[in-house]
Amino acid sequence: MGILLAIRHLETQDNREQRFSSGDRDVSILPGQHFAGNMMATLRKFRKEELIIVHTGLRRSIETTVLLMRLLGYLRNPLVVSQFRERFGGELAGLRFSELQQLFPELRSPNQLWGIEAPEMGLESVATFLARIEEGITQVARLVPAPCIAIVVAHAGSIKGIKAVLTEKEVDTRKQILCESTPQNQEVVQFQCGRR
Amino acid sequence: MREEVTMAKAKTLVGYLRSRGLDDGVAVRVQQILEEWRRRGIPLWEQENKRDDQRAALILGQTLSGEELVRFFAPVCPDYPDDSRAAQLGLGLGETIPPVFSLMRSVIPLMEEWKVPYSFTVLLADTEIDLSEVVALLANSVEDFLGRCSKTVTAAQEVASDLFCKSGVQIVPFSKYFSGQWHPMQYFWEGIAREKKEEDSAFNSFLCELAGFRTGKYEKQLGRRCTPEDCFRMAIRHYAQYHALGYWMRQYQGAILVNKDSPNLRAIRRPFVLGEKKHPSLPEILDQQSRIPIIVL
Repeated sequence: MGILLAIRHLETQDNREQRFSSGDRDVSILPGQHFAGNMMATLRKFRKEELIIVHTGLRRSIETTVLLMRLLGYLRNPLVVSQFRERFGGELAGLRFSELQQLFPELRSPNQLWGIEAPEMGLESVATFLARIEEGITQVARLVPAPCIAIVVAHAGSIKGIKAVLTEKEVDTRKQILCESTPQNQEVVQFQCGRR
Repeated sequence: MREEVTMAKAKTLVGYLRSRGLDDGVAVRVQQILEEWRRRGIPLWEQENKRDDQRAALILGQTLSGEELVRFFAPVCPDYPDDSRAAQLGLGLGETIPPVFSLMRSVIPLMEEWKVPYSFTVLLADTEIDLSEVVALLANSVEDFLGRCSKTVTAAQEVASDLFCKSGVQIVPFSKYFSGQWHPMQYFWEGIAREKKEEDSAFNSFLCELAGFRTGKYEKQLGRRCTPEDCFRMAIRHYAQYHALGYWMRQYQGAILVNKDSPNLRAIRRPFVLGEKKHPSLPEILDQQSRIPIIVL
């Protein structure tokens, strides 16, 4: 696999309500959504025979995948790589940003949750999260044949996790990438694998 | 006494077929085929299931009247090792294919002797191809996993060349048979099953029990310790697979399922009925609850 395209799933009610839609929270996408023309144009630059669509096993990722499969006329089997799920939230899963702020007054934006470690509440540590993402990338690299392009229908945090793992070696720099701005729903981010 | 019961049952069945518009000649012939069926020990009718009896008789009757084709579908597993951590996917027949061949060797000659038009499709369930964890354990790549399944198909065709040389008899992997439509259908039914478990406490209990009971099996399949959530996901997944197959089979009036006994057969016996919610990958179905007779291996 040379190229990995990461796409954030379509919008969910959690997204609208600014809830922490963590990896342990399984919600559907909102009905009646369409992919933006520029997103489809990006994907159609590639030959569909070379694409392998990957989802995370969570409803929002599966439902986006199925829509994408239909639009692309994709006839191969998709692949579930559960390592690409969002950061696990434990007791924080599903909380609104305002509720998170009450627990962690230092939070100024949702991205800053990546700077918080709360193992006592079941929040997955950033190190564990990044190790899991790295494992997922290794899995995809192993299973997806060389000329193919993996389209990973993932989550905001996991897309940043993929970026962090593929572009940086140092743990601290990787953490900084996680705190960067969040990809929008159905945003496509392209990565060249095997290069750092 | 037993003979009297059988006679009474036969009369009822003939009456039932007449009531469904089949002429006397066809009804009597169906009765004779069913008697022969029982004599050969084909296990559909051993359980004395009246509704399966009637449905299978109707399928045979409609087929003899030229309205239908008896379509046998037998899903079978690839050559899985007992434990995914111990070995890769085998290239042989595995455990589930040989019993299907034994049954085919009873059923197919019967269909031919009585001139009943039929098809027999053995479907190799390469359905776990989307589980990267399973593929990574059992093969070197997605293509390698599919290649191994293909070798099982070839091995089966060689071992049972006497069966697969017949017209309408085939063994084919799910991925090829459904050409990319299988997983969208499965995922759709996974979503429905998740919704139903919230509404239906009996179904929820059934899934919880199944997930708990099969923990060891899932751990062998995934090659790791499974959390209760992992087990629940797997239980829903497999239930949805049965449901997807059952729904798809209902587009044919003459469908008969050949399957080993499984709690998941409930998905065939007691299908969910879709209202407005419909998925483009699903076929058009006239009767979502039409009974599919099951030959339990």
